[in-house]
Amino acid sequence: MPGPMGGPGGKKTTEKPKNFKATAKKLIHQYLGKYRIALIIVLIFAVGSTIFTIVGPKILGNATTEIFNGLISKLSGGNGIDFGKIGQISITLLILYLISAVFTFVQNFTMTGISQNLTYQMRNDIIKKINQLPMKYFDTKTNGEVLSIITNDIDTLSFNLSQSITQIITSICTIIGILIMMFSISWQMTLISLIILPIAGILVKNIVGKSQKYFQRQQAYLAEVNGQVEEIYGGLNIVKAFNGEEKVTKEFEKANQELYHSGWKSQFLSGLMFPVMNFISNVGYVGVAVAGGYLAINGTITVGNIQSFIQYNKQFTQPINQIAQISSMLQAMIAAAERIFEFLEEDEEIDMHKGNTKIETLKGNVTFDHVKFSYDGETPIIKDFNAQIQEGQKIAIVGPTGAGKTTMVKLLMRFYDVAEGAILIDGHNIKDFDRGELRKMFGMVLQDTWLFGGTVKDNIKYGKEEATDDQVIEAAKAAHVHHFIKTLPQGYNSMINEESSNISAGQKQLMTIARVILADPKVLILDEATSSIDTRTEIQIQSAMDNLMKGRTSFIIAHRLSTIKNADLILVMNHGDIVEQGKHEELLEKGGFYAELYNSQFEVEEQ
Amino acid sequence: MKKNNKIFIDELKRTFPIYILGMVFHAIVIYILYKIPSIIGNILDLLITGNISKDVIMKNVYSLIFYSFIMIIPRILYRVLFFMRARVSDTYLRSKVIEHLQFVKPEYYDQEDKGAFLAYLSKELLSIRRFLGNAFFNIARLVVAPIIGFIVIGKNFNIILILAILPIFPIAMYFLYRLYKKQGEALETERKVYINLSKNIEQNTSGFNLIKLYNEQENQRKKFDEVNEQTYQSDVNVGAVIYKMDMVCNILYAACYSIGFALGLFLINRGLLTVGELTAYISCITIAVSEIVNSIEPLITGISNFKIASKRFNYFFGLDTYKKEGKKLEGINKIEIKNLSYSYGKGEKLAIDNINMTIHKGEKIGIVGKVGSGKTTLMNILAGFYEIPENKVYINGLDRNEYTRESIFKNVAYSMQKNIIIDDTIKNNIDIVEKATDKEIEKISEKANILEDIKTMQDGFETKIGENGVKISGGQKQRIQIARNLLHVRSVNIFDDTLSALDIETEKKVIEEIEKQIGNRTLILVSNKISMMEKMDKVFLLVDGKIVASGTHKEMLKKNEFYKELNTYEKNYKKIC
Repeated sequence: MPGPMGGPGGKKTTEKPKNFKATAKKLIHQYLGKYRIALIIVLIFAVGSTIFTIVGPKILGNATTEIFNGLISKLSGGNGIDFGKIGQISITLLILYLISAVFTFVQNFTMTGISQNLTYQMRNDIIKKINQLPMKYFDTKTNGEVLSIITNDIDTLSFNLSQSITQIITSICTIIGILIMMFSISWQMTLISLIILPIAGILVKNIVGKSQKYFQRQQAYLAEVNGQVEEIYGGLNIVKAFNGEEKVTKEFEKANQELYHSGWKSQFLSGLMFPVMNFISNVGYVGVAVAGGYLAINGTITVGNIQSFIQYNKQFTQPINQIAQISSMLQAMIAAAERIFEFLEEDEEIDMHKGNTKIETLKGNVTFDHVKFSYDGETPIIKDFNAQIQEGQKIAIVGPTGAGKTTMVKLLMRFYDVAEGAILIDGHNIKDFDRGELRKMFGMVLQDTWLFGGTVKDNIKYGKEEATDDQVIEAAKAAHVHHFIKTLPQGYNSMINEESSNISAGQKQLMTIARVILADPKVLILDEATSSIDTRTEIQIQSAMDNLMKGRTSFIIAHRLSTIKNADLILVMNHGDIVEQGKHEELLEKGGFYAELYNSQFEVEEQ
Repeated sequence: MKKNNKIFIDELKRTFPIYILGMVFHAIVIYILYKIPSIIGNILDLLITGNISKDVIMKNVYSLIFYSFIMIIPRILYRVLFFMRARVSDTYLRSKVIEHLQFVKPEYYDQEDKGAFLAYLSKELLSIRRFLGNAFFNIARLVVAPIIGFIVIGKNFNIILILAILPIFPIAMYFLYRLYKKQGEALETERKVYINLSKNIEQNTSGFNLIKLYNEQENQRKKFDEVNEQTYQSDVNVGAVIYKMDMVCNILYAACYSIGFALGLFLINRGLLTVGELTAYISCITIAVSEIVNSIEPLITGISNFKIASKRFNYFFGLDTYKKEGKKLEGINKIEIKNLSYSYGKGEKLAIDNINMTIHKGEKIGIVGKVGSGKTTLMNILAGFYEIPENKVYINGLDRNEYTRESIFKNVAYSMQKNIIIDDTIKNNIDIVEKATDKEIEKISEKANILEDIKTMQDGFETKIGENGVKISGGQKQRIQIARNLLHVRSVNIFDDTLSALDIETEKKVIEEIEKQIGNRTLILVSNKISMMEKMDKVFLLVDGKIVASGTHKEMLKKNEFYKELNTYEKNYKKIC
C-alpha cells in the first residue's frame, strides 16, 4: 500500500563509502571516548590474555626439544627423558593458561560492560532527541521507521560492538606478539610468513569496499519493512473492505525481497573473506613447513623450534582470518551507527531565546503581523494574515475547508514556525518563549482526538498530574462523559487507546474535552467540527465550554451560527488568507464574501 | 485451534536437505583440516629420521597444497548453503506473517499493541534467521569436527589418546545444561522488556502531538528512563549467562589439552608415539576441542532464542482467522437482523441490544442516535468485520456465517467514520485497487466535491498524502474517502458519519451525488445529525444500543419526542461552514 518511496528511506542515498570512516570517528569520539579508562583496562588485559597464545608454543617447543633430546640420549645410553624438567615446563604452561583465561574473562567482561553502557546511553540520547524534533520530522516519517532506529539499529550496533572490539584488540596483540616470537626463532621463516600480509590486506579492502553498501541497504530496508508492517497493521480494515489484500501483499513483497537481496549480498561478500583468507594462510603455512624442514636439515633450527614455529604460524594466521570475520561485524555495526547518528543530527526545534517573560503574567492579547506560511516551502497556505485580538475576546475563524484554519492554530502553538512575519502575545514574539512554556498556555480540542494507551483517568489527567480524582470526575461530568465511563467494566481505570473500538468516536472526543476542561488553560482553541457528537450532546457541552471561555481568549474554528453571531471578532478565511474581519453585523453590511456565504446557507436552511 | 509448529516444521522439512548438503561440505572441510597437520607431522618425522628422499617430501608438499586449495570451494559452498538459506527462510516467514495478519480477526487488534507486535516481528525473525544460519554450522563444528578428529587420531595414533579425554565432556555438558535453563529465563525477561521499550517508543512517536501539546516531555522521559534501566539490566543478565558458559568451555579446553599432552608424553616415553605424531596429535586436539568450545555457546544461545521466537510465532499463527470456506455472496437483496446483541468483551455492557431490522435492496436507510448508541458497531457487523453467532443476521435468506467473509466484503462498500488515508498519492488513495482510469477518477472527485481542492495542489492527483506526505484538512480527508467509496459502488453502501466535517452547502451537494451514484442500490447513512434524514426511505433511531423508533423522517418527527427534540436543536444551531 505505501506508494513509491524511491528506495530505502526515500530521500537519503545509501552508498557513501566515505561515511565509514566518518561514522567510525564519531562513534569513537562521541561515545567510546567516555570509556577511555575502561578501554585501557581492556587493552591491558587483552595484551595479557594473549600471553599464553604467544609464549605457550615456545614453551611447548622447549618441552618437545627436551623429549627429543631425551629420546636421542636414551638411544645412546643416556638417562632418557628428563621428566622433572618436562614437569616444570608443563606446570608453567598450565599457570600461564590460567592467567590468560582470567585475563580474557576480565577483558570480555569489561568490554561487554562498555557496550551495554554505551547502548544505554544511546537510547537515552535518542529519546531526548525525539522530544526535541519538530513536528515536521514526524510529518515526513512513519513511526515504524523511527521505531526501527531504536530497536533494530541499536540491536545491531550492540551485538557487533562488544564482540568486534575485543577481537580486534586481541587479534592485533596476538599478531604483534607472535611476530616477535617468530622473529626470535628464525627471521628467514618469519619473512616467508609475512608475504601473505599485503595480499590479505588488499583482499580485505576490496571486499569491504564492495560490500559496505549492502550492509547499509540492509539496515535501511529493515526500517522500511518495519514501516510498511506498521502501516498494514493500522490500515487493515480498509484493506479488507476493498479487497486490497493482494495489492498490499505485492507491495510488501517488493520491500521484503529488497531486504533479502541486500542481506544476502552483504553476507555473501563478507562471507567470501574467510575461505579466501584461509586459503592464502594455508599456502603460507605450507611454505613455512617446507622452509622449516629445509632449515632443520641444515641444522639451522632445532626440531623443537620448528614445531613451535609451525604452531606460531598457525596462530599467526588465525587472527588474520578473524579480522576478516570481524570486518563484516564492523560493517554491520557501522551501517547501524550511521543511521543512528543521522537521526541524532536532525534539525531540532529551535528555541532562539529562552525569554524571561513569565507565562503567568500574560493576559492573552494576540497579534498576527503579516504572517506567511507554507508546509513544504512552495505551496503557500497562508499568504498574508493580519489581526489584533484583545484578551478575553472570542474569535471565530470561518471559511471553507482547506482554507488554512487548523494551520493557523499550529502556528500559534509553534508546532510550525511562520515563514515571514510574526505572532505576538502581549507584545512578545512567540519565538521568544520556550516552546514548552508557550504550549502550556493553550488548550486545544481539535478534530483528532489524542488518546494514548493508558487508563481513562490517565488520559483525562494528562498534563495535569496533580489533579485529584474528584477533579477528574468533575471535568468528565462537565463534558458529559462521566455516565459513559461508569458503564465501562473498570470505570475510570479501564484501559483505552486511540484504536479502542469499544469506545465510540464521539465519546473519545468528549474525553478530550474533559481533558481540556481539567487543564484550565489561558487560551482556548476549539474546532467545532467536533461533529462526531450529536447536536443535543453538543448543546450540553456548550454550556460547559461557555463557562470555560469566560474571560479567556478563545479561538474557535466555528461552524455554528450562534457561535459566529456571538463572537467578538470573526476572521473570514479563504485560500489561506483573511479576506474579511469584523463583527457579524458589520460583515453582513459589507456584503462581501462572508455575507454571500451566510446568505446562501441561510437560504438553504429556510427551505 | 492451535496450528502448532506447523509452519516451522514445514519450513524445516523443506530446507533440511540443503542444510544436510551444507553439513556434508563442512565435513569435507573439517576432514581436510585434520589431514593437513598429519601430513606436516609426516614431513617432520621424515626430516627427523633422516629420510630425506626429495621425491617423498615433494609428494607430501604437493598433497598439502592440493588440500589447501580444494578446501576453498566447499567452504564457500557450505557458507552459501547455510546463510543464504536462512535468509530465504527469514524472507519467507516475514511474508507469511503479513499474509496471516490480513486474515486475523479484528478483535486481535483490540488486544494487541502495535508496538508490541512490531517488536515481536523484528526481534524474533532476526533470532530465527541467526539460528537457522548458524545452527547447522555450529552443529557440524560441535559434532562432526570432534568425530572426524577422533577418528583421525584413533586411526593414525593411539585410541587411548581419545579415551582419556572423553570423560571430561559429560561433566561439562551437565553444567552447560543448567546454564541453558537459566538462559531461557533471562531471555524471556529480555523479550518482555524489549516489548515495553517498543511500546514506549511507539507512544512517543505516535503520541508526539499530545506530548508536545501538554508539555509532557518530562514525564515521558521518566517513563522511558525506567524502561531503559530495565533494558540495561536484562542485557547484563543475559550477558552474564554467556560468560559462565564461556568459562565452562574454557575449562573444558584446558583440561583436554593438559590431559592430552601428559598422555602424549607418557606414550612417547613408552615408545608408542613419535614426536611427529605428538605434534600432529596436539594440533588435532587443538582443532577438535576449539571447534567444540567455539560452537557450544552460540549453539545453545541460538536454541534458546529460537525456542522463544517459535513460541511467539506459534501463538500468532494459532490466532483465529476468518474461515476461507463458504458460499460466495453475489449481490445483496435482503438483510435481516434478528435479535442481535453484541458486546466488546466479557463484563462489557452491550454495545447493541436486541436489534431487529430488515433492509431491502434499493432502500435508503438512515441511522441516527446519540453518542455511543451503537451505530458504528452495527455497521461494522453489517460490513462483515465482527464475529457474530449463528441465526442472527441473514443475507438473502441465508445465515451470514455461511458466506465467505471475503465475498461479504466485496458486496458492501463501507466508508468508515475514522478516515483512513494511506501513505500514497491522492490518486491511489481514491483508487485503492488501482483499476480505474484517470478520467473516471477525475469525474468521481468532482462528484465528491474534492476536484477543485486537488487542482490547487502543486502535484495534483500525484500529491503524496498520509503519514509521509502533505497535510490535508479533515474535510478534505473525508471527501477523498467519499470519492474512494463512490468509485466502487456496491450492493450495499454504508456511509458512517462521513459528512461531518463538511459545511452545509457541500454536504447537500455531496449527498445528492451519492444518491445519484448509488441509484437503485442500497444506501445506509449513519449520522449524528437529523437534517440529512429527510431524503431517506426509512430512519432508525438508536438509543443505548436499542432501536427505539423507526419510520420516515416525517413520521419520526410526529411520533418520537426525542427525534423531534434533536431536530429542533439542529435547526436552531445551524451550521455555516
